[in-house]
Amino acid sequence: MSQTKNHVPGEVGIWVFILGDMLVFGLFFLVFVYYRGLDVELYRQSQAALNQHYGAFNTLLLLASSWFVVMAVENARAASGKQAAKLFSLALLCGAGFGAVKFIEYSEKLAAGITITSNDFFMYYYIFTGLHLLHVVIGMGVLTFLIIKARSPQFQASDMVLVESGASFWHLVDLLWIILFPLLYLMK
Amino acid sequence: MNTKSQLLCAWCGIAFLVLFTIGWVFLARFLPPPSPALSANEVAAIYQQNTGAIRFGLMLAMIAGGLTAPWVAVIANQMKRIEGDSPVLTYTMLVAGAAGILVLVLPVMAWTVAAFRPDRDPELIMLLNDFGWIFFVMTFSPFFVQNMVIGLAIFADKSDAPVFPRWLGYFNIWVAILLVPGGLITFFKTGPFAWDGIIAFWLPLVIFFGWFLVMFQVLLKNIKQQALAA
Amino acid sequence: MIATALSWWLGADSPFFGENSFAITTGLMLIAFTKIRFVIRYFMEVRHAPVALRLVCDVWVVVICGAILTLYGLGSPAG
Repeated sequence: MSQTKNHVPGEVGIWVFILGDMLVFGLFFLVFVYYRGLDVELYRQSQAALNQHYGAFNTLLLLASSWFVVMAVENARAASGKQAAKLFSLALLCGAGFGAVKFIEYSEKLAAGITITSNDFFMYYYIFTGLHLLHVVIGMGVLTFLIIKARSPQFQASDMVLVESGASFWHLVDLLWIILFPLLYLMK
Repeated sequence: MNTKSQLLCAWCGIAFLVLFTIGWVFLARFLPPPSPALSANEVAAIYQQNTGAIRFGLMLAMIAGGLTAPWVAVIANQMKRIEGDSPVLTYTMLVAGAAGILVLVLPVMAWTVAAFRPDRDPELIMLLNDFGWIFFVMTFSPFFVQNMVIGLAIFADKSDAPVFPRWLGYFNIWVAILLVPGGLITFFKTGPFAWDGIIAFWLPLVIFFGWFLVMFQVLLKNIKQQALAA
Repeated sequence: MIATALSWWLGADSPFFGENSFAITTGLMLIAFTKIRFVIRYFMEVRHAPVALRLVCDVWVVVICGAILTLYGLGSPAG
């Protein structure tokens, strides 16, 4: 990773989106904590209905996927596109695993009669994790695109901007979950 | 080159902002919005106490709505430079933008009807008030499509001298996504996802207004460059 | 680098069951935001980025973390 100083990862434009998203999710987090403060007991009781293991497992999946992406970017820089494609595929697999776990988790909650209108806590739970899941799905699309790019024989150094942009977006997906997890599942 | 017409159209976007703000915010005093949790009598009282200013303010807001037509057209004109002979995204933007005018004008008319006979049955006033607010805040779909296709068109621009900077593409897609939470207001009467809530209302409102200012800057630059190149 | 990340991760994942919920929540949030700064700087490679981007990211981390803890502190009954 011998990068010169003052190198913006990916194209500048993607950072408009990433920072914009961080700003908005930041606001979401604050809204949640503020309203939680108005009715702490309800939030504590509702939180007890969540399965921390699903959340923790998903945290690990996203960390692993982020790490695969980091290695993929390094490989892409070293012009070994094939290896990069393999690592991106592993990251994609982790993303799919995250989606599967979320699917199981949602169906369990719904089977137990817990929906978006159950109470305020579950309203935030469904909306925030749903929006995050949307990011995961978009990110998986981005990863698929990167896999195709990295596999093509014409893969070249000028494609690095695309690779870095896509990778940065995937890390954003990981980053948002790192706060959502303690906020929704663990906070006492 | 029709530089003057283009500039006029771009300035219409700013005129919309100013006129809508004067009418809707300062005269009608619809900001902050009345809570969806208010009772029928409380809602009726708003229209009864401020009748004249609401009527006049909403008339200005209605006029402002029409000013978005030239604004949409000048964006379409610039987009067409990217797309050339097969401007599907440009057409999509035009159609969505035209529908967007209705989303700005129809709620204003619903509120106007409420203010037309403020002493009628409060339940009916509440109905019109609900209709206006729900139409205004919830209808994100035309704006969503509009911003999305602007973003997609910018990304599709492969020329060496792109019409729009690429960051503007990301910006438009970001704006599109942030308008979506308005769709949630149908479920809530209080909290951040209600029609007066921070996520469903304030955030999209600020971003929608900010979008005009950002687009305006870039449009002015584009039009000037076009004039120089001609 | 990876080991550090993992240990941070596991540290947060093992559920604490203490009495002092304020300390636990504060700890969880500090760990989460430390991880975030790590992800931003190393994974997203912001540490090589121009000062402006580095600064914006750090300000975000500090402001959001600080605000979450402040709002939490205001809303939470003592203990």
